[in-house]
Amino acid sequence: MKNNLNIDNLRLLLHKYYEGETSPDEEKLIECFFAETDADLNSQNMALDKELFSSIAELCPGPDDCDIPDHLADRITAITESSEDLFSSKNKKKWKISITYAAVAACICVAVTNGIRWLSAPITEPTHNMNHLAATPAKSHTLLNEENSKHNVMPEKPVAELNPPAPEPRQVKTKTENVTDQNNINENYVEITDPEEAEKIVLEIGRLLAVNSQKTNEAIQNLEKTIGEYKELTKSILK
Amino acid sequence: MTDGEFKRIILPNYRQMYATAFAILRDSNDASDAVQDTVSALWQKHQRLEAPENAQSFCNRTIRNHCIDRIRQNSNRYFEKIDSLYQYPSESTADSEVSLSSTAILIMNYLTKINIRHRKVLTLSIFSQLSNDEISVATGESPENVRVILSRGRKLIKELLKNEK
Repeated sequence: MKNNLNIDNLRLLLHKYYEGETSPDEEKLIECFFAETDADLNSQNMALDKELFSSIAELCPGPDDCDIPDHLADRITAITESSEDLFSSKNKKKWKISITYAAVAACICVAVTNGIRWLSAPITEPTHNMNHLAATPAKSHTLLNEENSKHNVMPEKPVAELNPPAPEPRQVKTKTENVTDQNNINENYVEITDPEEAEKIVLEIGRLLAVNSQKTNEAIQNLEKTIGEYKELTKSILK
Repeated sequence: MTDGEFKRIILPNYRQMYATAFAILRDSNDASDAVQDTVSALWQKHQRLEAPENAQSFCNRTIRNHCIDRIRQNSNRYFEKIDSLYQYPSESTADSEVSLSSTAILIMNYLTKINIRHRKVLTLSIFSQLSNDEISVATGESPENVRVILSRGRKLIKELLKNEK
């Protein structure tokens, strides 16, 4: 290095150094020059610079001054030897996680679909019940029986009785014509013109809708509970 | 880069990488961790990398960048380590393993008295021999600020030496 650096170049580098513009390699060049030169630097006003660079060299050890730890080689070797197994087990774990998520998602979809079906099924039945109420003949437990009409109260029916297995013909005590003889109209269909009866029917429909709403809420709660259980299951698998 | 190429080209440079890391971080454990982290990161990506023409230069540059990132992310740890180097004995004694010249002690005393911002820049330049750009990344200072701080600091140290004489 000394042969590549003369005094003039050294001055330029020192000027750059004190302007904060030198690179570490250039600073190293200056340091090596000062370390190897036998020239009289006092005449060149560089004695202080030499002392400065030699002091800095004391504070900063070179690459040959550090001892390589004994365990480092083993640690480095272990990286390439154990990482293959690590990666394969990582991939296996990733597959497990993916399959678990897919299974949970499928179960949730099935539960939601069944929930929607169950919720939607009763909605159509009030219509059927309405037809039943409007057109089918009365039985002892129907709404438009004489007891209910007396008290003007809709009795609380058990769940099973809200969904009768089959509609039964019923004689409607209304002033409307019985249109069962008409060919173009469903024989069970009757038009209600009595306001009191119509009001009773509407009230009953409202009550049935309220019951269905309650059932809907219960179904949603069950669904949320199911989702929570699946989340816990997923967490336990991932652990 | 295949597994065999990696083991043949990159791994043998771990000693040089350690020396570079130690010169920057000035701590044996930190340097070992830096080398292990760097080699591990290279190993994970080695199949997407091409074999470098100059492996030593490539490894040197990689470990330097890693060390600068470590300093930037945890500068307190680095500067505490350098501060512990200020606890060197003021004169050579029979019990000490390291003896420093009076000029070196003067420089260290000067560094303890300047403000923290200038001290960080000068410390990285003197003790870790980082370039201006690397100091800029490690400290968050702009390259121009780094240059100005280094210029003032070096001139002041020279002035202190002159007054001491």
